[in-house]
Amino acid sequence: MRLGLLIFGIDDHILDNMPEDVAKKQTLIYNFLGLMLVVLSLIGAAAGLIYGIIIFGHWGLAIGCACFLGLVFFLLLQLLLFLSLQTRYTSLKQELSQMEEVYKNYPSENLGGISDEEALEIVSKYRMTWRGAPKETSNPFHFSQILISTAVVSLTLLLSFLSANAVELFIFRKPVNQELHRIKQSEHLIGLAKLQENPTTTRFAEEKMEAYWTLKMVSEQPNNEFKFIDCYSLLLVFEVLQTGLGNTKVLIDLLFAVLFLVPYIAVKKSDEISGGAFLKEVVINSMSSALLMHLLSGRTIEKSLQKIKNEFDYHKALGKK
Amino acid sequence: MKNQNSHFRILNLVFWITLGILALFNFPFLDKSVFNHERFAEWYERFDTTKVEIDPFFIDKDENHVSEDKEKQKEENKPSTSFKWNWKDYNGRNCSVSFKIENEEFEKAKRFRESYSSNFSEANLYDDFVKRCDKPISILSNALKSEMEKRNLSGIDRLNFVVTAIQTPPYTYIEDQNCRQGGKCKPGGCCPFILPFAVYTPTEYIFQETGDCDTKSLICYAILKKLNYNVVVIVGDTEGGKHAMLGVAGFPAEIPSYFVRHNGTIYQPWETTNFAYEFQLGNMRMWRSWRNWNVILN
Repeated sequence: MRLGLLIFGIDDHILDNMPEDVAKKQTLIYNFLGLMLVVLSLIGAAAGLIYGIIIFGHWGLAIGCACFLGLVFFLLLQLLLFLSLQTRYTSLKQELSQMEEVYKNYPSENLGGISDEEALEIVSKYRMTWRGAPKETSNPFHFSQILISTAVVSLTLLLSFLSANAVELFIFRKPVNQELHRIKQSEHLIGLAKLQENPTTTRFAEEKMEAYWTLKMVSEQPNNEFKFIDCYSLLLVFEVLQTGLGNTKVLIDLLFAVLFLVPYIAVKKSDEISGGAFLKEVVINSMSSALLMHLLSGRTIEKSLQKIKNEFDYHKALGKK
Repeated sequence: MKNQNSHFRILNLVFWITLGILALFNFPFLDKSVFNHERFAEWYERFDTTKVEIDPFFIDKDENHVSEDKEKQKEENKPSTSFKWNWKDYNGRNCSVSFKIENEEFEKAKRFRESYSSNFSEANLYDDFVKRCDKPISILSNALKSEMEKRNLSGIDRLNFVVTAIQTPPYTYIEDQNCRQGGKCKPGGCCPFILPFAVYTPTEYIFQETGDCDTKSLICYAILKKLNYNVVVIVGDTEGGKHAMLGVAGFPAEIPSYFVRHNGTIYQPWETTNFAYEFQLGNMRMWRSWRNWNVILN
């Protein structure tokens, strides 16, 4: 299973820097996290299919809707997870955000004669010094964390309720259709709707209108057959679903909320992720790459300056002979 | 630290267990018990009775058929429906019966069926349906009885008179889900979402004349029981699936084939779904297969 590599970038050259058992464990964890993301995206796609078939009544459009919603779910959940992926190695994080301080130790004037091997040795030493960085038990508090967490949780809950309603419709489509059929057969509604078509009084105008609308929603049109739920109105379907399920609907919604929040909580709270070796290695890797790039670019700049100093024809530039 | 290390393992388990619980809801038996039709019935009744109160009032106003003492009249005469059934028996003789049943009996029977819990067995349901529809069944039985007496019918002719009356309206599919074969809910068509167990009460059959094997067998049973015959409802398997028939004891088979023995009594099967000469007492050879036949209601 290479989901960890595909989604979170678990790469062999990062894993090579860890002991074998730690690397295996980290790969397994990120693979599971990736699998959760894929499962949630598939649930999103299924929700898209169900909403699509109810709204458009066309399988082609419903499949399009499923692909679109599945992709939106995948990208949004991935974004939310990446927002929460924060290492607990605070000193490393601070170092990465203030690399200018490190660069000061290597001014570009001294880099002109540096060879590739020397640059790699400097980076290797730098990398080794950070390997033993201490780990904090939790990230220091900052007000922005509350805002970010609120946004992440709200968005996750929104996605979970969207999926929950669609899946409930799928599971309970049979009893919902039965109740819709009962509404369709109501003599009272039919009587009221007939009066709406032939109005001779304004009394109970609202009820007549409602009855007319309700019957229209549950009556199949010749060119627009019911495909999945025997109703054209999502709101009426939700009303029927809510009434029939009662508190069980709240329970199912909560289960979906748990399902969608688990990956987020895992990323935030699990020491194997936020305090894990993979995130630490990724940060060290980023810092080392940044330092290496600084050394190499400093060397190139210095060489270019020397070249300009030695070879540039100022007389020609000034137009003198 | 060890505790923190196990966080992911626990959360991972929580995720897959939650997913498993949600998948469990897909099982059909759970879907039926979780979705509460009675709760919906309460909601529906509330929504429905509002219209009932206002409906007769302004329908009368709108159509200029105002009768000032309608309320009084309503109390005196409850609205009812007159029925006149015409059919032919196995000998080709014309038969007919007339009777009148209050409309509210239909509503009562329909509500009783719709609010009946599907957790009970079919046997309980049949018995409760018959008890609930006692009044209409008595009216129909008395009408048939007086008609049979007028014609001086006796023995098997009396049974034939009753059963052919029920056999004559064309077979109607009664489904507990949507009708795949299409058709409207009228004799010869298909009635969708009839719950529980896709069977109508005898009163509903009288008003609509829509019935399949168990609906027709049940009303035959109810009428003949009222007329003091030893009858049962039998169910079993045929090549077409599960089927129900009427069982009659104390009469020799008109067309002998198989029979069902229950508590030492022999019950001859009687196919009630359609009227045909070969659909007489004792004959089940319209079906090639005959397995697991038992008495379900006696």
